[in-house]
Amino acid sequence: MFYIAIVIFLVVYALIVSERVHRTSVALVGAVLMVILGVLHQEHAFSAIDFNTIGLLLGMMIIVLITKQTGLFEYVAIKAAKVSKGDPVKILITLSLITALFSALLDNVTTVLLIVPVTFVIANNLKINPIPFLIAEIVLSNIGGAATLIGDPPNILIGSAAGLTFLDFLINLAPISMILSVVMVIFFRFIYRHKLKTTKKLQENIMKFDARSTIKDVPLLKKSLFVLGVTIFGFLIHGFVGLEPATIALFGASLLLIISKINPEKILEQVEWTTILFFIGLFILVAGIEEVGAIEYLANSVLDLTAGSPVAATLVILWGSAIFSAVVDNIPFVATMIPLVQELGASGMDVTNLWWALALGADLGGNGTLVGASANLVAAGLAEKAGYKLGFKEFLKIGMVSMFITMLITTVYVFIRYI
Amino acid sequence: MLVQDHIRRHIITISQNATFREALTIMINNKTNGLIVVDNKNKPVGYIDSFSLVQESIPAYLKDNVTLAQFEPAGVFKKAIEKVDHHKVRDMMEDLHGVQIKEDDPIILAAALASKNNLRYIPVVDDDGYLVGLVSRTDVKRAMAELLGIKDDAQA
Repeated sequence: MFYIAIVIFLVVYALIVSERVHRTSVALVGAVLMVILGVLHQEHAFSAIDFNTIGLLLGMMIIVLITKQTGLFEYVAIKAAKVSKGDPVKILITLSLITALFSALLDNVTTVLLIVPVTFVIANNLKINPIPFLIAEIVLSNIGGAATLIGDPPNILIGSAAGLTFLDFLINLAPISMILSVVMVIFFRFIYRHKLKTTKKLQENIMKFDARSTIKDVPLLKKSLFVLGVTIFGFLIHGFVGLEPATIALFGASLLLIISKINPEKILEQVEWTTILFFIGLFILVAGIEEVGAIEYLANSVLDLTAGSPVAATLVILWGSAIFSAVVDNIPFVATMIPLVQELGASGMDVTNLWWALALGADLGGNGTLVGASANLVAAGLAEKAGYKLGFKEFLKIGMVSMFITMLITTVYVFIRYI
Repeated sequence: MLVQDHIRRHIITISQNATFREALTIMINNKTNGLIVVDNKNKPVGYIDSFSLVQESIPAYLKDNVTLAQFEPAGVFKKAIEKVDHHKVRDMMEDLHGVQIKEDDPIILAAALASKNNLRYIPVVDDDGYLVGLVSRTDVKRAMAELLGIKDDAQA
């Protein structure tokens, strides 16, 4: 049984990394094989699915899908360009910071899908290359995503498994996320300042934009903002009232569906079911190798490697997660690491710091390469279709440098705060 | 009422290996909005119309954020079209997925296929699968008018 489970898991992992077959199809086949080949009972497999993660993802997707229709996010981005007076360097700064803020509240892919189109329009008007903006936005979306429980799927997974609240994430991760955002914006301003040259006349084009015209539906906008406010308030207090984040998100989603009177069929068909089913497959796959004792074995190896020292374990997880997440999808990586950290906890180690190290490493590692995070690939795809090239090599140099700068600062932060 | 009663026999085809530019040229020169796309054996595989060309020319980042297009400066549309100039017809055509009819099929089959698959043109083929004509939505509309006894004043 041990080897059957390991083989299924490793083959699935290899296929996900190779990207030759869709990751969701592979994960589901692997999950079903765990049951068919007798590694897990079906009942056990189903109970391994973390419905708190699924519910939180689903709820947030619905809220964002409806809010997106109002044009709110385009409005904010256009407004930012106007506040920057059309000055490309200032626009780089404001759009990057807005990307970080959005991605703390929305998932990174959605953020990129909202910000990148506005960026193209602005760059077209200023007649400058949008690629520097895009790279800065990708990097800041991964940094911003680290700030909250809902900012990046690894955080959702970790929060649910470790029982950490939205407020816990905000207190522990938002400060470092803000520090990194400021540092990286200064970094990008410094390396790109010569590439961002335009004329006063072109800058005036930006000033002529009427940001309000992007708002498509004012009544819906008011309802969306109301529900967003209620949901964020709910997240802030969920730990005190004993509710899981999934309940809060699904409350917000159902409330918005009711008061917006939007046909749920229209919204639900846009929900990323492929992502949700990918998570379901992963939960079962990880339960499979956990069942046969592989995770326990790995946890013991980590204990041996770090000689049981919490400091060494924190550093290994922080940097190991970053390097791993730069090359493989950080979602399956974190899903595998969670039971491992829990196993370390069971052995008597205090693992609270390890959760933060895992989240920070996995989120920031996404900046290392173009394939490190889905948001990076989505941005590159949009660029290609718009006639610009953001290839693996172009991104690699700046991505790696960004990853190392942010990881070094994060290491210092982790040392000061937790060790 | 059969397909042959409303078939359009004068049709213009284009090879699936042709380009955006060639498709556009043929449409302009022949004052038509739709071309049937044929494979190397001259059998119908799809169709291309002005909608296909419009869709191909708009970059992905504007499709989901249509309101942003109002801010685009002059020259962006030209650049977008120049970018797709050499794209292949087979990559932008509406794939028929094997949908085709014969002259002796009932016209309701054409109507049903058009409604189910949202197709603008249904190719009519002979027993060997070669194109002999097409039935468009407009042809189905004429058939409906005929059945309800609505006269075409312009023709009378």
